[in-house]
Amino acid sequence: MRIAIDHLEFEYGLGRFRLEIPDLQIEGGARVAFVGPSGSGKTTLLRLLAGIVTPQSGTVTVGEVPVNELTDAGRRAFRIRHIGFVFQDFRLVEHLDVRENILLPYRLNEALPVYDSIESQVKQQAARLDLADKLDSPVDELSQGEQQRVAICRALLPRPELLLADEPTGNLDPKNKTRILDQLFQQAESAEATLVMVTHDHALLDRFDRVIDFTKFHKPEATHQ
Amino acid sequence: MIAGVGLSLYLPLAAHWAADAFDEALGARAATTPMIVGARGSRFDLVLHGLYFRARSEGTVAYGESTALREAGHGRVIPLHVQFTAGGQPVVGTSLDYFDFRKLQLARGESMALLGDCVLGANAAQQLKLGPNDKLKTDRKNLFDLAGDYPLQLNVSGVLAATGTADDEGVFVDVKTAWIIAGHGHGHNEQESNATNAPSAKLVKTHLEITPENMDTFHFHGDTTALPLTAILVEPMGAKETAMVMGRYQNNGTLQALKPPVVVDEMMGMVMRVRQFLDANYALVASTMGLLLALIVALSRRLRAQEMETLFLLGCSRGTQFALQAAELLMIFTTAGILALVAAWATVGWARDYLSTLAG
Repeated sequence: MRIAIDHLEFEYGLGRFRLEIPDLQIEGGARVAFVGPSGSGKTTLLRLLAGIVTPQSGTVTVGEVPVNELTDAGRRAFRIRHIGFVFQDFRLVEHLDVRENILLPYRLNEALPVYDSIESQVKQQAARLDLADKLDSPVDELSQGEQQRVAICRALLPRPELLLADEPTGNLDPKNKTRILDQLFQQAESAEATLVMVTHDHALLDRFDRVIDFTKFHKPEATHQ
Repeated sequence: MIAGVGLSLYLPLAAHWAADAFDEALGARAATTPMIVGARGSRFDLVLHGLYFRARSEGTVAYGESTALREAGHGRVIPLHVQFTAGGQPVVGTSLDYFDFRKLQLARGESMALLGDCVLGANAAQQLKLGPNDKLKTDRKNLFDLAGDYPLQLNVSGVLAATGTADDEGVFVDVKTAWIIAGHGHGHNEQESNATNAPSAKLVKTHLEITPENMDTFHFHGDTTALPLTAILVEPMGAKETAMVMGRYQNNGTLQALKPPVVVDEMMGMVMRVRQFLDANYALVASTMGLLLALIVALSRRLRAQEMETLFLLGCSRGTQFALQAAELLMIFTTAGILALVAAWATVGWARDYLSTLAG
């Protein structure tokens, strides 16, 4: 799923944050890393791509769909159908167990495609991320690393065409970091999905097809004024 | 939250249904009792006494009055003497006409044929664990009054089929047996004394049970027409006879004739007024509960704001988000409603049994 950004302008906080991207093209199936200092707009661009927020001007096209021109309902439907998002703060539902958290996209949208038996899919995915024996555990009893893996599992299960990951290896030890990255890459490859990942870990960058530095996109307050 | 909603639904439901059950039970009993005659005093007391055998301390009516009413040919006249209890159940002294009047059927045994026989209502038999050919001793009213009534051992001749009315609680005896229990009649043997220093040459032994052998010794002193009844049930033959009976007691200083349906209507009017007052209170309680619920729902929404945001981030539609929250509220209200209905139903079931008898 290719991504095209054209003359995008986004700001919030009465202009205290401003992101300007004149042109950005990402080929379908590419593995792209977003790097840059904190507050440079990496997470914001992931949210723009997912249609969680919309720009003041410009176009964000994902696949053939101009996401920012969709209605709120259209963006929600597009997001749940085509995008897997690993949030930096995991965004798990605390009172549900691991299995139900992983299955949440399916609970919220019964139209999502089911590959094989959904239960066996959950077990396989959980096993790949070393969560097989945690499926019935409440998520608030898990460690940070385990919670992060649950969030990744949830994003991967529906086999999205665009996988957005906001620092998915941030809370993991080196061994798990490698394993998670392998999983993300493998899943993206098998589904021919585009992978866009925010990271501060420069040691990982050589694994990506392309690295985009956000320093050039971010317009600090002083510049804007 | 479920308990709060359940209670706010349960209270008015149970109160309404109980009042309806009370209205129905009292109304049905009153409707089958066209007229009652008794000593002047509280009209409600007399009607409840005649319908539910509730104890009444105000005056009596002479047995002769019932004879006079019967001879006047106004309709069916049934004497009632309800002053004593046996095993805690009211002893109802009456005539066999009462069974026909109330359409009471025997479930076991036979009707009372002899002095000292009794027929038990269904609940009375169950509570006392007695059946035909068993014995039942009446309760003494005052243990310290040696000159007063003595307990009389009754022979249970039969048990009535259940009717769901106050008749299920009664211990039915012939009115003459009731008078003997009250001490207006007795049976005794006279024996020669062997005591040399006895002032009298004879001893009197009072019988505490009526048997075929001693039955002939039972007798009443004085005029039986003056013996007391606590009420008389009258079933006039028509409107004319009803008016005549009412007229007969209109200016009577000591007796009154009442139409139970009218008195019960009046009583229910009072109950309805209490119900209206309670309804107003329930409305206030419901309003308070509504405000509390709104607060709880608002707080719950705030607590779960992050969860709702997660659903939004994943792409959950507004409709699904709304449906989820609506489903939760629906589950709470449905569960509370079911609990309230079941509790109200159980309460009214118990109350219906209690209200249908009102014995005391």
